[in-house]
Amino acid sequence: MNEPNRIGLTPLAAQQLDELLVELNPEQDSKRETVKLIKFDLYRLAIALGIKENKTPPALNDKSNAVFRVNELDPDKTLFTVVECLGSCPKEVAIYSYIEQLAEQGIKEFYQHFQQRGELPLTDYLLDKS
Amino acid sequence: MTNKSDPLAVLLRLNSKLGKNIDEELIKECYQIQKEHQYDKDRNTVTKIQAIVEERVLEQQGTDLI
Amino acid sequence: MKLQELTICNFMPYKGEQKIEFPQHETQNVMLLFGDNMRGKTSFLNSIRWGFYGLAVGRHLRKIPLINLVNSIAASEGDWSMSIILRFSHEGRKYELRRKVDKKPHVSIPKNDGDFEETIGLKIDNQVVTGDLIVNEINKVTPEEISRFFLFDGELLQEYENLLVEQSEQGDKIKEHIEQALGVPALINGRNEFTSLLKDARRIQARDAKNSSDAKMYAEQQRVNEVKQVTLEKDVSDLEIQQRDIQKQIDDIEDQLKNTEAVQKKKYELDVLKGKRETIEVQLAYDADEQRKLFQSSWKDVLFKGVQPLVTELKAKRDSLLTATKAKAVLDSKISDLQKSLDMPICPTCTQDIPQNEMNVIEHRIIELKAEAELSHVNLDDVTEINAQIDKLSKIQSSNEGRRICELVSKQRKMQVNIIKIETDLDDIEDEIRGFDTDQIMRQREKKSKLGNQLFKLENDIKETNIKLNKLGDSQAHISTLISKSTGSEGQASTIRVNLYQDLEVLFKTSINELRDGLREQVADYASHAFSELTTEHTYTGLEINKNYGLSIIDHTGNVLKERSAGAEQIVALSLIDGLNKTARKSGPIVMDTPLGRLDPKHRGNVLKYLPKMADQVILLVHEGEIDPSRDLSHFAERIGARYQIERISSTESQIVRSS
Repeated sequence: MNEPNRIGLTPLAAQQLDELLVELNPEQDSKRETVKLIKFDLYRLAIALGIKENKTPPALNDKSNAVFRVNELDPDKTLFTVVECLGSCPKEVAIYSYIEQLAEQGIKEFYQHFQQRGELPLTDYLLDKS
Repeated sequence: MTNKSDPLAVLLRLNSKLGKNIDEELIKECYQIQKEHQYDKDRNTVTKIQAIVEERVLEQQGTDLI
Repeated sequence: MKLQELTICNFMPYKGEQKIEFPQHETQNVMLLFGDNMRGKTSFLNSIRWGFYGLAVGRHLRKIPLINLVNSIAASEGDWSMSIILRFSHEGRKYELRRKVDKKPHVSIPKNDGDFEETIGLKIDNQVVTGDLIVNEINKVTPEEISRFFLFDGELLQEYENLLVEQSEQGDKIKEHIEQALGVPALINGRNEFTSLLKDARRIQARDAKNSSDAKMYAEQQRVNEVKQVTLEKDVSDLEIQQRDIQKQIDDIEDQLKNTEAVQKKKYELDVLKGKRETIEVQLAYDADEQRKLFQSSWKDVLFKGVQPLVTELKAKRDSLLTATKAKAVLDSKISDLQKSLDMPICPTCTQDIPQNEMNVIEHRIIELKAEAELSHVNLDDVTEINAQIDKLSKIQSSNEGRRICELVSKQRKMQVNIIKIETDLDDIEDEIRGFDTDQIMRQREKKSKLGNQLFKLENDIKETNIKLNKLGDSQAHISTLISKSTGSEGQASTIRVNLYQDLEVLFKTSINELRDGLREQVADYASHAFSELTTEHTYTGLEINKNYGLSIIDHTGNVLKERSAGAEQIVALSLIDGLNKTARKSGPIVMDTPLGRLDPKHRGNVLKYLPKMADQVILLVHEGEIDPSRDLSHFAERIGARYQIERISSTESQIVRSS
């Protein structure tokens, strides 16, 4: 299978990602240097959570905007390796396409949780449930 | 009232103590006028005092001339 | 003098006609008047004061205007009439004093004292006293100057306590009042009149002296001095007016500031809370940054947790492969050995041929082992591959971002709760102080300070001017002597006159101080006696009085007691009041706010026992629940001749009712 060079999100998920970033980042405050989250941060986390929770992501229901270069997103090919090793990726799907699907699913979930609770339930995502 | 707190007694005592030798009767009369009217709102004690003092002045002048 | 009956009509909170009968009994001479609000009790006191002297005073002894004396509800109903009737006895005669005000007929709504007309009537043993003699008659019985010693409200009591603090402002005022009363006006008036008569006499002398050549010069000097004196006296008078005005401004500001002290405290609290909130907000912002930083690498932590099971699985697989490989090696070796036996069927031990049946067993065994070996076949490439995977996956590291983020989230929640709490408190405080302008408070403080400086300067100016006046006075006396001694003057009437007035003036002047000292001593004696009955500490030998009527407690070593408790202050103040009363008056009632405020039970008992002895009639204005005669002291209960209660009907109306 040919691995894509770029992956991204459907327009809907892309918009949701933008909205989430606005919510999570501090207001325009020129007074101090603040740490700001970027799209990669949420994208990667969505993928990582999808992997950890053994999700089976559906195929994209719309065209991907393919804005992220994979060698920028995953420079050490960490994500690639994990998905490959786990073997949950179907044979006919490229690893990065699978990753893209995980991201799409994860971002939509983030958005939904945020709408429901007014915040991202980080404690639920990050703490070990074991 | 003790000797120390009776105004007239104080006046008389100081009279001799200060060596003034004012006529005791005069002192008593002046004090009496003041005492009677001390709380009056419209006092005319000045004229009364002036009158008795003038009497004494004339008396004394008469004595001096003699 | 003994009070018999007081009839109040429309005076301050007392609407309509209200009557109070005072106890006439010799031993049951205490009247209790229970009341909650200060205004009711002080108004009662003022009703007596106004009845006698046409004067009602408020804070800082300021006169209350007539318009504030008429009951406001009656006034709103159009009834602007107000009156006080006092019935009392003195030296065997019965007095009836009526004082009444009403608005002038042509005035619809009075605005100041000028819009009222006042009438006063006095009957002695039922004989009407003519108008112009009334005031004098009253003053013969109960002089106004002395009224300060028997009409005590809480503020005045407090001022007496302040008196005991040396050099206090109020102390000077009280001292002035005391000296006015005890200085015996007769002597003071005498001195003042002699001073004035002396001036006149000197003028006459100077006029006569113009005819004598050597005395002419002195006479002229005297005239010049007199002009200066008049100017300086006017200056002093003007300065004193300014002084009073500034003092009033200061008093007014102090009153305002007292109210706003509480507000100042709240404002300070407000600022503190705002500071706290800001600190928390800064911390929250900082922590939010921390959190986002951790977020950025949290995917690695998640991934790490996600791959752990896989890594464990792979390792297990690899290990089992390696085990299998080892097992195969062992099998292969066994097969090889057996094969060798097949190829060379001689027993190595006995060198005999291996029988055929045994050979069959060996063959069978080889087939078995070969089958097993097949099963254990391991592709070493697989192991290599697995190792490679394990390596790759092990490169994923975690810095526990997840846990750290959760800690921050928990901390954030706590701080947000804190902020909400702070903001609730802030809202409460802001509600409380709404309407108070705290900047205005600062401005008032500054103004008061400035006024204080002005006052100080004025007082100095007054002092200096008085010094100049005294010098002039001495100079005039000296010149007078010179004129008197000049030739031809000695036998003259003018000289005799001047000398006589001079002597009389000096005599009266000196006597005033002597008298004051004598009276002060007497006050000290009475006060000491009172103190010995009031105090519970019997090692104290007595009280010592200073020039300001300040009293010090002398302990058993003969030394002045430096530290005094608040209770002790009250006891000493009471002793002073008793001493002043007994010195200044032969008889009369006392009307006072109960001085029990800060006293412990033992002292309370002593005070209650002593109060009935302070005067022929003792009228006590009591807080609700302050005295419980049945509980407080049995001796006291026996002395009570009448009990009244001030019932508060509204903020502008009260009623005095007799209680059993």
